[in-house]
Formats: sequence, C-alpha cells, structure tokens
Amino acid sequence: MATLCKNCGHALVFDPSIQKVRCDQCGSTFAAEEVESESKKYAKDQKVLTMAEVYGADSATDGSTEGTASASSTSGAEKEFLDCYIYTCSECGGEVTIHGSEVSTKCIYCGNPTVVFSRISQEECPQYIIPFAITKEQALERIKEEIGHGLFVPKEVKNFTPDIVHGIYIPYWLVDADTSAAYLMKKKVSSGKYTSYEYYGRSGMLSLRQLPVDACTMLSPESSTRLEPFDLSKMKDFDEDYLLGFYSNASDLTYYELDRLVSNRAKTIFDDMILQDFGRSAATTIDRDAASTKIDPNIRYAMLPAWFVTFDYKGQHNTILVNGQTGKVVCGLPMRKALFYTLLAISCIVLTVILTFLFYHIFHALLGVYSGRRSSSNNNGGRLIGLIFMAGVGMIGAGIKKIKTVFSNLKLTQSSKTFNFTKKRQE
Amino acid sequence: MGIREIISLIFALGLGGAIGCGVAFTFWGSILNRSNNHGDYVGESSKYTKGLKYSDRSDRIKKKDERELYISAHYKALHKDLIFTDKNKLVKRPIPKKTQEQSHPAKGPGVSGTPGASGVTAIDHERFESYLK
Repeated sequence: MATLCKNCGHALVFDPSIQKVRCDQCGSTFAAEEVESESKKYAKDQKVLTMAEVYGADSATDGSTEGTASASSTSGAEKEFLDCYIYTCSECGGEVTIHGSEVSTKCIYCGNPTVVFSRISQEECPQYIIPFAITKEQALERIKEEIGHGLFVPKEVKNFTPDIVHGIYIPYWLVDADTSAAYLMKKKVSSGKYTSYEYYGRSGMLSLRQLPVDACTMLSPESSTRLEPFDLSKMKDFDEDYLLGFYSNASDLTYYELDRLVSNRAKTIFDDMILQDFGRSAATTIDRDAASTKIDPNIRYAMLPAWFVTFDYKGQHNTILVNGQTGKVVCGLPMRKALFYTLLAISCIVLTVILTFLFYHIFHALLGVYSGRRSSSNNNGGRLIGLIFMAGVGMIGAGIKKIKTVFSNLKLTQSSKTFNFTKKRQE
Repeated sequence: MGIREIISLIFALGLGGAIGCGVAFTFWGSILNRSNNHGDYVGESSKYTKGLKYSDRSDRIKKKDERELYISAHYKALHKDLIFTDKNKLVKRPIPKKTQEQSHPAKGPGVSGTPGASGVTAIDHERFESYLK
C-alpha cells in the first residue's frame, strides 16, 4: 500500500536530506503533512479491530502489570491507531505484518513469493516521530570515517561491502519517573597512621523526565541504549508519511517489562548520583532500602530513527547501527588478535626488563643504606613498595576491563537477534 | 650473588613486572578500545550532543563512564546523617528532630510504583546502628 505521487503515480519515499517526501520518477517533492496516504483512504472501508482483539482481553492502559504498555492521554481523548496489513503465506502459513509503504513480495520465513493479503490490523499509533536526518549514503560514509583508522581493525572490515542497509524506526516509550531510595554508606578516612570509618545515611529523590525506553523486544536494550542521545526537542507529531521508504516496528513491550527497564535504569543513575556526593571511589554501600520507582502513567510513544548495516566477516554476521538523527555509529568490531597480543606481549616484556633493572639498582642502594637499621623509614618504604605494586595490579585490571568491553561490544554487534531484526523485512 | 642482591632482584622483578604489565595493558587496552569500540560512552557522545539544548530542569548526567544523556534528571538529597567511628570510640552526631520525624512512618515497601506513606524511602536508623555494634 504505497503512497503515490499525485503527478505521475510513482511511489513516494521520505528523503532525509531535504526532509520532504520525494518522487524518484518525476522529482516532485511534498511536505509529509501535505500527503494523504492511500492507506488512509483505503482503511476507511475496512473493519476496525478493537483494542482487545489486537492486544488481548487483559490489556490495560492504567499502569497495571499485565497487558501491553500503552500511551495514555490525560485529556481522555480517544487513541489513534495505525493500520497494518497482514499477509499470509500460502506455503508455510506464516503471517507478515506490513506498515506504510512496505510491499509484501515474499514470505520472510520461507521465501515463498506467493503471499495473500489477509486483513488490516490496528496498532497503537505513535504520538511523535523524529524523521531520518541522515541518508543511507551519509550513514555509510559515517561508518567508513569511524572505522577507517582503527589500528586493530582488519582490512577486510575497514573496506567491508554492506550486505543489508535498512533504515528502521524503532519504537520508544518516553517515560517520566520518580525514584526514591535510602542508602547506608561507609567511607574510609586515613590520616597518618590512623584509620577511621565514617558512616553516612543518604536518601534522595530522583526525578527523570523523557527517559527513552526501547519498546521493541526484538532489539536488545544494550544496542538501543547506545544509540542515544536523540535530540528530543526535534520530535514532530507523528505522520505515517515519514515512514515512506523506511521500515518500522510496533511496540511489543508489556507494562511489567517497561516497569522493570525503567526501574533498573533509574537505579543505575541514582547510584551514580549518590556516589558523586562522596567522590567516586571513596565510599562503599553497605546497605540500601529497595528503591521505589513510580512511573507517570502519561507515557509517550515515539518512533526514533536508526540505520542498520550488516556485513559478513569470516562467516559471522555483523550489524552496525547508526543513529538516524545524529549519525552516531554504534558497533564493536572484530580485531586483529595476533597483532594486538604480539604488541601487548612485547610491551610487557620490554617494560618489565627496563623497570626491573631500574628498581633493582634502587633497592640495592636502599638496602645498602638501611641495612641493620629498623626505623619508620623502612616501614614507609615497605608501604610505598606495596602501594606501587597495587597500582600496577590496578592498571592491569583496568587494561583487562577495557579489553573485555571490546569483546562484549563485539558480541552485541554479532548478535543474531540484532541481525534478524534487520534482515527479516520485506525488500 | 648475595642475599641482598637476590632480595633486590625479587622485589624489582615483582614491582617492575606489575608496573610494566600495568602500563602495557592500560595503554594497548585504550588503543584497542578507541580502534574497535564505537558508540560506547567514554568521550564519544560529546560530539553528538554539541549544540543540543537541555531543558531548564535538566542536569548534565555523567555516569561513571562519562556518558551524557539527553534526559532530564534532577536528584535531591533528603537526609544526610554522619556517624563517626574512631578505633575505639563511637561518636554520633545528634540526629535532628526533623529527620527523626521523617524516619518513622515512611518505610517504603520497595515495590515499584508503590512508595511509602510520605512517598519517600526513609533511612532506617535502627538497622543503621546495628552495623556499628
């Protein structure tokens, strides 16, 4: 059900570079708000499904733990719905849901080209959208810029050929929430040879506004969170025509899941705020009351843009994400392991030899000076050596942590969940 | 080789190895991170938030990995208590009356969406003091 150009009848697509809907055939451009989709006209004649038929009899909109998350309106006005076309495959019986201008040409499950239009379903219509501001070419350019200079990125990855490039609108819930919690903290205070402990009580209230929560369970929250930040001040009222030429997903998050995601994220931010009071590493939490998070029922439903680019490397699918508004590239790349470990090993050996030589002469001299004398200087020297040793071990730990981060982000990039989210679309 | 030399060598090797490997791991770990990790939080997001306006109520939030988030978050500390313990002595700062009143009724059940009577989770002073015994 494509939206057609009123001048030549060709299918229209939304062009991020001009922020308008464009006809590739005759070059006409229109503002998205001016265009009336064919689907809107067609839908008027179709049977409208009720919320219960779409979401099930237990769906709720008042913040209960069951049912699907749903935008609520403080004014009590009726919700708007988005028409989705359901096609059934004649071969495997699978159902394919099509939005907007996607055209169903084959079954995404079995590849059978014969799919039959079944019915129109209705999904909750988003309230806001951030249109794509980055074109496909710009997204690919941004990726090449970011990964082109990596020392440990294999050449084949730097010059990768994209397999699939899809612009997808990801559904998000924009949530306002208040979190309160109480913490008992302990801080070590050293002055000279005396050590004391200070105990602190802290309770606080954290108010979050416009917290974006990924509403699509098919995409991992870690991937979607790293796409942020989006400039939410550039959000527009939702219009289906912004979807032209792009894919989209509907929210399938239950209220329980939404609550859990918001609570976890609020807790993380809250923990950080508490620690800032003390200076990051000085205080430890010895006890905390369970945080209570209250979510404002007025949650807003928005579509936010992202480019998904896949390529294969050594038999593994890799998916790079690009924020469709800011161009931020999100990925963890395969590495040149041999080069990295070789350089690491050589550096460790060379630095160890040099520093051993240095310290040997220092200790030798010190032992010569202090032999036979037991004094506070010896104790101080021992403490200093211990401190330096611990600093070295700490640096090793920090380095290992950075390496682990690279591996965990690579895992996200090579996740089959993200790949399937990108691939299983109509072409 | 005398005993002094051996001791010096052992200490030097331990310290040199720790510092040398520490520096190597930290250095190459950072290079690897910059090379192969994109869209992670450290330092990168600032170029994407340049020019973005924050709302009047927003605070710039820095998580421990320095990520800037375009959400508004306002943190307000409600209670601050301080109790010292020196090695042998317990020194307590008197708890203000206001804090005492607040601490009694509001024991949050800790379930999301259902805060305590005053809407705020209060410090449980009785449990707090048990850590000092």
